[in-house]
Amino acid sequence: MTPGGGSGPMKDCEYSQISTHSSSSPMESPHKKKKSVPKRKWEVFPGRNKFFCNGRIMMARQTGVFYLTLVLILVTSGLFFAFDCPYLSEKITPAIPAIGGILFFFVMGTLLRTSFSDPGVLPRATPDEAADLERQIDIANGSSSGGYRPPPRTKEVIINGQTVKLKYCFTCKIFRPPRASHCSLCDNCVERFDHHCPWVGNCVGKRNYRFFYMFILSLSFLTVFIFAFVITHVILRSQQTGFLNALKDSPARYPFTEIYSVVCFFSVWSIVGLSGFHTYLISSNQTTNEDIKGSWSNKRGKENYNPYSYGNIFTNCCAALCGPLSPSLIDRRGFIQPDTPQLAGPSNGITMYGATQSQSNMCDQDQCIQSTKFVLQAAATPLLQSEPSITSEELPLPGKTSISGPCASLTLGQPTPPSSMPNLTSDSGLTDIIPLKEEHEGHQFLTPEEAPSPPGMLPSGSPIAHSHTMHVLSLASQDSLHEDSVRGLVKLSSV
Amino acid sequence: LCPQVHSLQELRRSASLATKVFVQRDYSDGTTCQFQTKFPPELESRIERQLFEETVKTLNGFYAEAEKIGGSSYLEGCLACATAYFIFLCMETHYEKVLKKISKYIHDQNEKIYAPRGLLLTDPLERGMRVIEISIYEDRCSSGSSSSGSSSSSSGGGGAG
Repeated sequence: MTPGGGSGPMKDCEYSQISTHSSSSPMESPHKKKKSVPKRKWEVFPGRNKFFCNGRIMMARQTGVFYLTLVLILVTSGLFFAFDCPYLSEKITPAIPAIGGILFFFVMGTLLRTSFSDPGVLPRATPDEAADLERQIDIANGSSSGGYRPPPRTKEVIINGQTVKLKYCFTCKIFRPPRASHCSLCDNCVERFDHHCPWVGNCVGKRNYRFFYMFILSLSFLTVFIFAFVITHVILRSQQTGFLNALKDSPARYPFTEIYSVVCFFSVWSIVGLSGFHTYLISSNQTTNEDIKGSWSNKRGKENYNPYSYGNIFTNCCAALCGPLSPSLIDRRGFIQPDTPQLAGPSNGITMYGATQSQSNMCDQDQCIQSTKFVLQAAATPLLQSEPSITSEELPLPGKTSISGPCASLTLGQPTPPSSMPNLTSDSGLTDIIPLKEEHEGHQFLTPEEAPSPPGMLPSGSPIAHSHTMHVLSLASQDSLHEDSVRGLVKLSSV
Repeated sequence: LCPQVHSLQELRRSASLATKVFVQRDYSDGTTCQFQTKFPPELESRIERQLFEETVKTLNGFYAEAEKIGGSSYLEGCLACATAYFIFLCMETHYEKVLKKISKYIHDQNEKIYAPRGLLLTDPLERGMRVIEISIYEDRCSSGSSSSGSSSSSSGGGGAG
């Protein structure tokens, strides 16, 4: 397996999961390969992330827009330094390119730091932990075991006097800590989840929020700086030779002045606006997620106040920007320990609860479900054209292509303001196919339900909410259908 | 004394895992990392309540120290920001230093207190800071004598508690 990570959108481990559909712990293949090369943990990471430099760099799967961001910043700054700076440093002061250079390096440094670091991904529960939680949930619910309609899994905690509901994540099999949320694009639970930013190609969460904020702040300064001095350059030239002559000269001598000043103009408004928005969020200690959902109202007297806020703006800012940086919880570069396999259930002699065996099967089903979804994405187009008979057995066709649809839509550089797109767009894409893919996808669709679904931003909010609740209630009925559908899909994929 | 497990290595080799207990996070103070000090009922016969609570309280203290927002953390944050966060490539953060202390503390506790009782603590960092996982082992060769041994040690320790 090449550590470059650029060999394609899918990692080898997903193929190996499909091929071992009989027993299928993903640790089977590393065990067989153990004698030759010990695998690092990033190679079997269950989320939808790309890793580079042997696990040191971690990004989301769709990185096209990130390269666009890089190109825009590099080209705009490059043209500024090449064409405006010589004139301005002569005419006004050489401090201008110096300050511009410092700003540029700061922007690039914070951008790369935001994009490449772990946003605060929570590792998925080990089978023992998941089984223990299941047991506790069953005890808490009392009543009949399992059944077809278990109540939704939530836990309530009281934080600083405010009641907060912790939701159970079906993908990661954990109760999410407060302020954590599951990103459906990256398929990970992220601590203090802010939003998924396609422009930086990563989620923005607890560990990289400060880098993200410094990035947009410094980028606003840089764009304002460049824009101001481009205008100054044109004005100074027009004082010498007249305005029209100045503009005429510039395309001839400085070919792209007008283009990149236009780019700057639009960037200025969107980036400065975004910085202002995030400054507000930091000062009130909220995440984009919480603000959009309207979780905490501002008035202190009311029932609903923000329990995480420190009370004053200064402390909130300091805590967000200068607080301690927690370490990555997913240990990307560690080696997989052969004696403590992470997902093997019965092999190390654990015989605690009756649920253990079924839990390990559930985990295997999850892996199968994940991997079959990827296969479906890959196989969507050819299957559409050639195999209508097979699909009539298990899955309706349009559902398949629309999985890749929402993922692709975000890479096309939507006209919505940059970075203000939480994983809504993909959610709306996924929810569109809820009515079509009822069986094994119900498991996955609980996560968009938990993800932010603001009433204002999605025009079709209410019908989606209805289909969501319907699927929450009928979730467990689909658990029993999982095995059948998964087996069917595995047969399908082996065709 | 009956042949109980004496060290961590012997524990892993000669004992078989019976069950695992999970001490969950305590979110009543917000998102800071704190664990519940509630004594799990499965450990009733294995370890004294006071020892367990002391371990958890010490761990909570360590995590509070790691996440403390004060003068030194501000300094570290501002310095890092001024260097566009490149300084983290060469410097270890305060949090990482405390995590090393925690790991050493857990290892010591395991050796001195938990392994002799057939228990093993797992560093919460390995479980995503969600739980303290306590593995309960049954001594394979002498399961009967280990239970009698632990009851004698708990009766001895009960006087102190």
